[in-house]
Amino acid sequence: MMLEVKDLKMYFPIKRGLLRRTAGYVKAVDGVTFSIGKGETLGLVGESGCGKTTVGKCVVRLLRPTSGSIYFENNDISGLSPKELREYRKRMQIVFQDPFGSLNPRMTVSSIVGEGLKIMGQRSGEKEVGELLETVGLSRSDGSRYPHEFSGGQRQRIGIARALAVGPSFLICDEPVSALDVSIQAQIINLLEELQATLSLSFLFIAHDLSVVRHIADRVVVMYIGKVMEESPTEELFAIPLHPYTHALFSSIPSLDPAKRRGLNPLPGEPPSPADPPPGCRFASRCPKVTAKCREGDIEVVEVSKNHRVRCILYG
Amino acid sequence: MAESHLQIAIKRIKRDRLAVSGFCVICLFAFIAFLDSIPSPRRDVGGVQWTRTVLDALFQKEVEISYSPPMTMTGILNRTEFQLKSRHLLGTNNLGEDVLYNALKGVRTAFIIGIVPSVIAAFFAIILGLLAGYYGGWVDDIIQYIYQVLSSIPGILLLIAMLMVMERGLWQLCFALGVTSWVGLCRLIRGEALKVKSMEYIEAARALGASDLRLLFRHILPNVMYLVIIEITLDFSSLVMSEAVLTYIGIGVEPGTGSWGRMIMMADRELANSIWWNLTGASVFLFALVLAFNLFADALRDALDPRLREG
Amino acid sequence: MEQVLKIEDLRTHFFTGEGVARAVDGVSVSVGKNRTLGLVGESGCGKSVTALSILRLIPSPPGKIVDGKITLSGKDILSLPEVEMRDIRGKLASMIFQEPMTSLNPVFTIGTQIIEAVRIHTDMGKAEAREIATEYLSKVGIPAPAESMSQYPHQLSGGMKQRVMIAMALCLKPALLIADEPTTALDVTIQAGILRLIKDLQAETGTAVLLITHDLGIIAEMADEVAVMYAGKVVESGPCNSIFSSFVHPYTEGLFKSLPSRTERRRKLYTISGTVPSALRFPPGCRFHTRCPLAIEKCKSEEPPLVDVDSGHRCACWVRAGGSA
Repeated sequence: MMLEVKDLKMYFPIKRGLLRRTAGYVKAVDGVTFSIGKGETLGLVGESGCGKTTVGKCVVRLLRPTSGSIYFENNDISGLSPKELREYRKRMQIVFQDPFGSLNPRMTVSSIVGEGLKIMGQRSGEKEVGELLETVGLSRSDGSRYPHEFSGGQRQRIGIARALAVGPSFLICDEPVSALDVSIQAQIINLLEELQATLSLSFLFIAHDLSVVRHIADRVVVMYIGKVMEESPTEELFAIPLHPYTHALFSSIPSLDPAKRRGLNPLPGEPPSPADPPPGCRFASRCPKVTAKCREGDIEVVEVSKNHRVRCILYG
Repeated sequence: MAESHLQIAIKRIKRDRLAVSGFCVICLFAFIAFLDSIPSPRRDVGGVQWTRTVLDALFQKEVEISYSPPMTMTGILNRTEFQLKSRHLLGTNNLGEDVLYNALKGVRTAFIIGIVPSVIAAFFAIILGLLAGYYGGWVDDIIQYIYQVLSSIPGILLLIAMLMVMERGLWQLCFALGVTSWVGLCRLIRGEALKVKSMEYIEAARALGASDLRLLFRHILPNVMYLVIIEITLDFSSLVMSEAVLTYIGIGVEPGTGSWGRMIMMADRELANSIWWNLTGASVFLFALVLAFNLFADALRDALDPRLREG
Repeated sequence: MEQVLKIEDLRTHFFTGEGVARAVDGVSVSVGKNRTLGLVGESGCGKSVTALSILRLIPSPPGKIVDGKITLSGKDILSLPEVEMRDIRGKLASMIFQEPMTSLNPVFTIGTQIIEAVRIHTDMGKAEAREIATEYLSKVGIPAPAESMSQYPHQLSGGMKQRVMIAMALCLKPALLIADEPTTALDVTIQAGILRLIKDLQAETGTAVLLITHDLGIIAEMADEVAVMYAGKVVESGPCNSIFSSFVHPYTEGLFKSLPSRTERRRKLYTISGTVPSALRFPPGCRFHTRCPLAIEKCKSEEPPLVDVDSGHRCACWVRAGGSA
């Protein structure tokens, strides 16, 4: 097992008033459990506010989780100090979504890509950086240029090179292609898949675009307002989505065939706020199959078949 | 080819003709200030070594008795071959000193007063602004408290107090001005640091294991530096003019140092006697330098502002 | 059928310090009453600039509409004085943008903003305008419309804000609605709601819709006709069914083939080599030739015209449409 996340919780305090008293918590991640094997790609999907990006940041320890455990290569890193984490930073890295905000505009590409090596005390000269740039499909001479001289797709490549510099075995990809045009998306997805094969990487692939996830992920976890709603191998999930939310999600995707227009049956209502979720199932307010029982108490996860888990009363 | 931000900024400034002429004027003045900073041992009549700098060497030091209007021929001494002017082009002042000479001597003072206090202020503003913006919490609270108190005291009173404690002098004045004027820039840097610290590239560096120190000086500082440069160039004008005012009220540079302020100081009495050239000489120089800096600083501000960048 | 919007050979160029960016360089499209034209292309193709040109919202230095004709409900847009243009914007044709976050003024309530929009274009009194505003807030699905009028934009979610924008855009029953990437910033379940809303309101009012997007799925769901843009030009256009089932232009083909949903899982995705050229330096001849797997000599020097390949379906390509040399 490369990564095992158990009952991960990330609560952000809401501070009000002169003395910054804590008036409540935004429960961005509220008890998430999943695992990723070596060489595997786990897709983490959900809409804005579901907590998927927060999960990603907790796993790479940009945030310190409120509770729960994160076992990376069998070591719990959830409570380690920054100093203790140094070792792990070599083995897990993150690729960000925004090609424009994720690169320091005042640094040259070589400094950006080589920074990890410098911090770790390793050589970060032209040779090392040049090799990394070539690995991601750029040229050695690009090292002396600045981010603003590159397109969105090329910047993502720079971000990937930066993450790979320290030699990780695990990458968290936080919406790496969402901000890119379709034809560029394809280039970056191909690159990531190639790198996975040649460098034996495992991915936690966070995205909201389901067609991309369907293409690249081995298994998928669906999140809604801080909780996991369904987890299953990819094809099984897309063929037979069990959870009503997953089903609604898939039905909202426009089909690519004008002859088969789905007619867009939108979900009614709005998602509840993660600061004040109502008791019971988080999806109850919009679920087409809601019952009275859905609003009483926490719903537990049910294992419907091998590797396929759902958090819904319908299957309990 | 690699296009650094500096090169882009220079390209943009080149397009603004007024800014470029302003820059040329600044260079001209800077050259004069430079001449005034190099010592030059020229002896003159009587073997007395009186010339102090290269600039001095270009002028005849001998003075007239008192005021004389522009374009007067020298009365007292025979012309020597190194004499730049055998005429007092702008007349002489009450001590018979050449007005043009005095005005030129004021250039070096103006440059020093215009730049050094800003640099001193920038030093405080950067350190405190970065710390306040980056760490937030009680660090921010304390620093904000400091500068809120400081900015509540009228600047002029603080200056007077400081200068009374220190001796009078150009460098002391610079220090006093610098130490009392960092608050504005500090606020700006704090705001920008707050914004920059939540950028994804900061998170990326953190994920690579970067220490706070590295984040502050390798990542955040270069991205707020443009504010410092803009502030230094914009403050130039007001600092130069404030020297004139401070000298007028008596707490400026010591006598003996070139100062446009001192030339202007006597204006009220002189004008009553129709003596206009002393004031005019100083004012024209002051106006020219300040205008040149303003034109250049505005263009520089637009050129460096990352928000005005076209993709 | 008479066209509500007819654009003929539009050219909008930007005169910058680094040269002329020919963002829109000879675009001709049209939209009929109750029809939706989908304008699709990637970033830098000129679709947003085309939309802004219709309402003459191009920032005037450095941009300029240098050539072409735009006819909106019979009016020649490019020859009208600015005063008349202001009357048209919001009344005859209105536009909704991608970012609902920044399209609404944060310091005014949504009620105030809609009422203002109504009163600028008509001589209705406050009470009458308020009624219309409430009616449209209800039509776009805002709960408790009368009370919601006094809410501020920051109190609404992204989807709600976009609905308010649609209400503002449609309350004066314009003949044309321009929607520039209206759902790109929204979640997919919210997106479905917004698209459905646009469709329903179109059926009710007969508005012509110009829908701009890079998402082929949205086009499939919403558009009657499609125009594919690349580097400032239309490279393929025609009825939606025709384009989706039998695309002709290599760029259109590339777009479809790059889609993950059209590729087998874990197989390498098809990619269009190279990147979109800058509007400052378009290649000569066919602008796509530098990235096209089918390019021949002629493509490098001569620009192909749009020719009919099927009824209503047109394509600009020397190899696939127009016989290669």
